[in-house]
Amino acid sequence: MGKALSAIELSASFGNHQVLHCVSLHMQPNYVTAIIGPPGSGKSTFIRCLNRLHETVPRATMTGRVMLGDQDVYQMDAISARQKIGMVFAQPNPFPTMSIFDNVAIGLRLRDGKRQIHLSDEVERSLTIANLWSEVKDRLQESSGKLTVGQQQRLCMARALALQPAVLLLDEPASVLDPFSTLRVEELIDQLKERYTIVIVTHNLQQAARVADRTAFFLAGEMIEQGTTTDLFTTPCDKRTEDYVTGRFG
Amino acid sequence: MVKQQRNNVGEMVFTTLVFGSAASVILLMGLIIVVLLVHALPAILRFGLAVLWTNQWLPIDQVFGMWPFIVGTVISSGIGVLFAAVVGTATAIVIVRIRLKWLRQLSAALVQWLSLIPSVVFGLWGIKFVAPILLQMLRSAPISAVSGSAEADGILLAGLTLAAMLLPTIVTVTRETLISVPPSIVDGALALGATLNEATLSIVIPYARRGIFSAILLALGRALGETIAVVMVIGSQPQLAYTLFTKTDTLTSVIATQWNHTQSVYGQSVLFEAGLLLFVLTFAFYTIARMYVPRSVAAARLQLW
Amino acid sequence: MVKKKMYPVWRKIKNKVISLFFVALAVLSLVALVSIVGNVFHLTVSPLHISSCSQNCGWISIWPGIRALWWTLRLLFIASVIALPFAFGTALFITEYRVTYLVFIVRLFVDILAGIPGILIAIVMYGFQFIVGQSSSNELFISSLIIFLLPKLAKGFAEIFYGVPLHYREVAFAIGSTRMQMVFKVLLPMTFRTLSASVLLGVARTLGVVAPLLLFDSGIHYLPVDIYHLTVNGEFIKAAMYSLFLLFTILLIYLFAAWLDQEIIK
Repeated sequence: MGKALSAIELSASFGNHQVLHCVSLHMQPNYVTAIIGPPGSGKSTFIRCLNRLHETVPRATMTGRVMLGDQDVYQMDAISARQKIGMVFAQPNPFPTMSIFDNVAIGLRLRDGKRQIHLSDEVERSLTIANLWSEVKDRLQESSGKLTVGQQQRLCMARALALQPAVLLLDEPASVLDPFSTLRVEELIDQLKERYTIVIVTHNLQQAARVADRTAFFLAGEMIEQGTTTDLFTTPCDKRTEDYVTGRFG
Repeated sequence: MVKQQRNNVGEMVFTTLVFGSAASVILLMGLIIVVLLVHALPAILRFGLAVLWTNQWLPIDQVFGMWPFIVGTVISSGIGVLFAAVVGTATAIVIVRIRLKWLRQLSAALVQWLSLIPSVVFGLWGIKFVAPILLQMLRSAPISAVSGSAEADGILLAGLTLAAMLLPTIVTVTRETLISVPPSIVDGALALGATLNEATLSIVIPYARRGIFSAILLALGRALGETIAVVMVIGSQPQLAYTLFTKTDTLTSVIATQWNHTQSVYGQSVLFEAGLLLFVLTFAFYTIARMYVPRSVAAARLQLW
Repeated sequence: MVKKKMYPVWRKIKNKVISLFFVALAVLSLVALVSIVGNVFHLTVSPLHISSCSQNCGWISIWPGIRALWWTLRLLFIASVIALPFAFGTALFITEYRVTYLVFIVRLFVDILAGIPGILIAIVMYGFQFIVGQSSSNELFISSLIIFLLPKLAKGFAEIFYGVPLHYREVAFAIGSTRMQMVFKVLLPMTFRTLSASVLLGVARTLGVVAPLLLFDSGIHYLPVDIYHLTVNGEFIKAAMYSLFLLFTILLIYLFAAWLDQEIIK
């Protein structure tokens, strides 16, 4: 089951350039939370802070707290935090030197050691959840580079799901996909929210409207407004949110 | 109309230059082959192919065998490339990981400068820096390991000197390959809960393996052809290397050292034959290696071949 | 539960060991590389501490070194001026013309010639002089350097030209320019800094060669050859001082090249 994730007064910067200004956002369990905003508004940095990837960038600093359930993510060690908070990136990035099977299995292998009895069951389970099993079950040992881009992205989701995280972060998961693959991914998100808390960053407003239960609007490193998706799109409180969702800028 | 005319003349000069230089390259190749063949011919006719596997070199008795030198070349290059590849790859990984920008660039610049350093300097380093250390270690080692050799000169010292010489080359080219690994792949591994080292070993190095392999091939080519650094430290004795401290010679260094000591009739011709062998090996090596070596901009700029 | 707790500890230790391994090897290479320069420095400076020779004495013995450096640079300059157009033409032939059998052959030959051991160049020049008759050692030196430098430069130039995306050329051809106009108006301006840096670095590398010049017993001083002979004769201090000149010159050339083409250290 998913756990609630909340960011409390999160600020982040690269060197002297501050990209997030004191953002607090509560992401409810088993909800899909969409983060929308124009490019450069700090959306990606925000979710990279949630699973502690931000700190791997040179000269990147951050302050604030991230709570997963009742645990502080920044008090855990980074490795177990990232195992509990899975992430899928904008560019499909399956490991090109590994087979499809190894791509899904690597997270488990890293966590639980090389030798495992139920590994192939786990891999099958993750691929089935990601709706990819029927397409790849006959060629698990092929290189992951041979899949189509849409399949690669679902493989990345399966890879993240194999660790059974509590939260799944999606950083513009459909930005390089064709409309059909996008549809498949969105259907998948819909199925996944029963089991996981999902945070999706997107610059595509229609996509946010389609998949998200709650939406937050970011602008220039600040969170302007958050609320249920319906409210935010139909009756925004802030003028800037209204301008953005009605397409006056961005 | 006049301008058109002038353009045509320029065009003609240009085309002549281009095709002339291409022809000069072919001519140069032909010249090398002809000269080597002409001078090696007496020895080839006299000794045949037997020189390849004869393992004695007694110019006074007219016995010439290149087997010791072939072995010497292979072993010294092998030691050099092995050390340089392991140490160099690790160094490149560390340099890429340095978080301070100025320090990262400074270390990269330092390594690039060192990759231009002449081999004489490495030879000097081998004699005055590594040899005393090796000797010290030899003295403290159990006697049985080395049968009373009082000098460090030998195939191991040559290998170590070559390793130091190849190190900057490998670091520079490997660093370039590592930088070109897409960061999103590393991010993907980190997001799965891999440590940076695990990501490096299981994702980055397999991804960059072609580049690392090409760096090693580049280094191997230089090691096989290196003369001076080897001559200065290998001890120069025409004998087969049985231990790591045997004084021996490589195909390149034997030409340099035996050149002025050839009293016999076939002495010089045999050295030309060694040169011919070296040439054939180089030809074969680069013909094969170029299929595996992807283009390296760093190597192109630093002229690392 | 116990099992799950065990693994992170084990992984942590493994992680530390790998880090340690990397850092240890990096330190080893740093020590090796620094000691190369340090060795030269130490050998040069050591007589100032030990011997009774005053500082004047040290200063006087510098002059042969500087003169040798001057000779070296002059020879190298002549060689590179001659090699440059040929290397340029060869690189253009390889990259800018339709790939035929001939281009393939030339490319292969350039690859091989660029990697040919220096000592081979020496014996070929030696044998060549047997065939055509004695020529002055100046000419021999310069032609050896050219044979060493030309294919290396050509290969470097070709790699740089390959790096220019095809569509820039297509644009030039599309507006009706000839191949020469394309080369001089598109290719050269785009790669000028990189090319100059490459030439400088090629010169810096040739500045350190000994092998192609080793077999000619002549009165001409070429700095690295002098260093080699000094070392073989056991005059380490003088050799180290000459090496220091050489290192310093190469450093200057490298810095200039790195300034020209800052991509190098990017």
